[in-house]
Amino acid sequence: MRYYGNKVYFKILFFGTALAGKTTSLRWLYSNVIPRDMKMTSEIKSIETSFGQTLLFDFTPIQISPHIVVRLFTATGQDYYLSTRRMLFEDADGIFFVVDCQKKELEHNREFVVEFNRYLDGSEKLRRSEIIILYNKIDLEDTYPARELGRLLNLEMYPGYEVSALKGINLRESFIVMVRRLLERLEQEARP
Amino acid sequence: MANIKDIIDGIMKRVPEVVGVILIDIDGIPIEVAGRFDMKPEDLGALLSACYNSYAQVGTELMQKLESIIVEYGDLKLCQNRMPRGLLTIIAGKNAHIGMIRLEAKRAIDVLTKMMQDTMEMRTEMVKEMKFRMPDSRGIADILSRFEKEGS
Repeated sequence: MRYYGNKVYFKILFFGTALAGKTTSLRWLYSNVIPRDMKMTSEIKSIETSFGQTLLFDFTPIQISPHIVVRLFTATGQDYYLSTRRMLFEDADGIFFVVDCQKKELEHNREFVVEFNRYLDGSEKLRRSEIIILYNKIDLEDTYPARELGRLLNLEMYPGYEVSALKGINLRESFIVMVRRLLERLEQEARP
Repeated sequence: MANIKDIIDGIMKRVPEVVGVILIDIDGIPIEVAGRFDMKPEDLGALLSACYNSYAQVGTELMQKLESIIVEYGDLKLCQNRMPRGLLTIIAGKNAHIGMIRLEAKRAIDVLTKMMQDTMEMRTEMVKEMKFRMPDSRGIADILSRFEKEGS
């Protein structure tokens, strides 16, 4: 978290494989969970490739109280933009790791777990961030249940939710848990 | 005693071709903005930070430290400079002398760096002494209830 003026800024990042549902999750939350008066901009700002996938990031800031701003980012999932992904992890307070539950995506997910762990290994600050796993596309055929996929990817130590970014299943719940954790951390810091 | 806003405004006064000055932290949080933009400062800050960090990453691959970025658009020039605690971006008309812009940036950065260090210390003290105005358990519950109600 960062302090500027009389505000504190949190950064929440959506990370995961290409087409895992990061942008869809953010868009669903923006449309369905974030109250209008909290939105600081009229739309999500995206930097996309010519074929419509996230190039650098999607971004939207929300002001959840007069003194607290939460900045929501998605990181590109394209493998060939790995170097631009790294910079988004700087100072992340909360991370939603979006995992594609389809069985055919297992190896791809594993690659991203390796990358994710590399970032964690390199940053004490990142290791202290709040991490929630979103097991997405649970509504599709031929998927792993969250518990089994968590075990296969060695992500069981983090709290996780079975979600459908397209339908919004469990997204609200996971977002509330993330914001609660960040605010409780802030409350602890403010205590004498 | 001058503050950060005075320094930023001063650049615009001294160089008539300058149409905007933006000071952001390295992650894109807008700290001070002078001039008028069609974009929200939050969006602009995020984009400027992403641009700078992308070029910084290219520099890392080339084993070079990024000092500044100069961009020429149709009718505008943009000069972005790294500071110890942020990025200073000056946007000027196409007829502006880039040397003058860089000189202004250099002078401003020297002053702003010191000023922001002092500000950080003051802020730390303020947070400690006044405990900021952070939500307590009830305040947290109020915020979260807004997310529960919206659209459901």
